[in-house]
Amino acid sequence: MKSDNRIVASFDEKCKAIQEIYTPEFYADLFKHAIIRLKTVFGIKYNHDKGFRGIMVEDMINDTIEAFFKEGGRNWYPEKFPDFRMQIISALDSVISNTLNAELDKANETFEILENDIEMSFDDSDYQSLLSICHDELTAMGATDYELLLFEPYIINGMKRNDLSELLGISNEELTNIKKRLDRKLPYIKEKLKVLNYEK
Amino acid sequence: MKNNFIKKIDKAIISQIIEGDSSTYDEILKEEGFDIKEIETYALKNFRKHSFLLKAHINKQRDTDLLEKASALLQNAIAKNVDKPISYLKSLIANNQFQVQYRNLDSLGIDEIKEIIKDQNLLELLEQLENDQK
Repeated sequence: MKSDNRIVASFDEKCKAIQEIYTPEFYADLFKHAIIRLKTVFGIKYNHDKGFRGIMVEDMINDTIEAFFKEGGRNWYPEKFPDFRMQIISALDSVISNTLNAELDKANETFEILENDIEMSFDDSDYQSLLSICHDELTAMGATDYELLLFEPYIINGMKRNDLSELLGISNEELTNIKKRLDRKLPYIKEKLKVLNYEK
Repeated sequence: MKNNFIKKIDKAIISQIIEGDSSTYDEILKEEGFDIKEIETYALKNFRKHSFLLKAHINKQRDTDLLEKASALLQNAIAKNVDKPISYLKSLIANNQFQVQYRNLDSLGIDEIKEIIKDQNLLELLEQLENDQK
């Protein structure tokens, strides 16, 4: 099936996919993702017993998933998101942003990364400036030299673990540990970049 | 450019979840003072409730889709005067309370066809109708 020249999954394909991916673990991950997003994007420390001004994370998750199975509801674009979970996370981000922006009545410049797949060309001077900002932030958060070294090839250039391990001359296990420490800092780097008045 | 950086960072964060590794999320939440066990227990409770509702919601939507498809095929069969589907519809009408209301098949609208077939095994009916059309 095609919509706007993009391939969209059929109802049956979505049903098949949801049976495979909708697990307690994935639901918990969505819950954690939402709590982190509320904290990093909106500065809200969410309380799951009380919610936030009547907004409950579970309602946003449930509505997001159900929207894929409603007539005229959300589409899954398998070419863009081969894994249905990526599409759900992207949709959840939109729901959170829309819900919270409406509630807080403020225009947050929330960039929906997964909804916007436009590749922008890299300009060397911008690239170096942004990389430097990221490195400064990482250093301020106490990142080690290896974490700093890993940031560009792993996050920005998307290199594979095995290649990185070879490049840096460290074991896969060691690399995984460094990567995990770096991963924990990423949401904060991301939010730091967002609030920077730097856009070219 | 800035958005490109943000996009890459977002992809890196989400790919961990897709790989089944939520340890980064757990660490971030711990640092923010959240109790991971409490969150997971609460999420599990909601998952159980919602997975049941979602199943019902999907089944309902699937039935609606089947009813739409089967009704459209029957309407098409009436228009083309295809024997088997017409006989089937006639037998349904003859065997239920609609016999007075729907004597003339040609005048049946899509909603009336839906009303007549809604309690039948729609999956089986749809397969039959599709075979009849081959």
